[in-house]
Amino acid sequence: MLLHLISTAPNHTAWQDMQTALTEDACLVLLADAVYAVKLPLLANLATTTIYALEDDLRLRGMEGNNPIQVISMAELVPLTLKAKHCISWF
Amino acid sequence: MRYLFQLRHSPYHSPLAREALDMALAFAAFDQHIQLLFSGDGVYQLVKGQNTQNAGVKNISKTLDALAMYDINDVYVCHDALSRRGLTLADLSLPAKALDAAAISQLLHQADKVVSL
Repeated sequence: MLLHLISTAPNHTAWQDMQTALTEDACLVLLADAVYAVKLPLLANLATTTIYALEDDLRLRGMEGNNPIQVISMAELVPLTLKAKHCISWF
Repeated sequence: MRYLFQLRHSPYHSPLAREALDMALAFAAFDQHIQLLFSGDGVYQLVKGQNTQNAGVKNISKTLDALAMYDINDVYVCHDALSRRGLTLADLSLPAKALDAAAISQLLHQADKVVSL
């Protein structure tokens, strides 16, 4: 499983690059400013449906509540990174 | 002299958001007429419900709460930036007037000095 970690706001060019590399069997984790994407329909159009957002970053940015994706803690993120064959970080 | 501060950066990605607000407050403390325009990712600074507990950063909402104390009452937000980010005025922590591109252009031209951060 390829794990994509993105930390930039949704309008950043990193999102375009990440989407080019994203496949159906991949897993995407939203970190830092990337959690702002939960307010946008773009997540529904991504190649993968396995999408997580870090709860600390959602809380910090006032993005908690009614999220269409799975919220995970840092403690849950660590085993995800260990389970992945490769991790790609998008800045 | 009328100063317009255009704030374009999200609150916690870099120090620019905080520094821009601190600068605006410093100018206001010297009785300058300050207007704030939130555009681009800067609109995220206004989102309500930001919780910095245990995050090790200062909540930018607290600084925004102080604007009225410094007589900074002209707060504008780019309507297009809001809608592109899935936000509305109801999502914001303080009252702001939404402007379209033409109104923003007018605002920029009417200011004596513009600081864009």
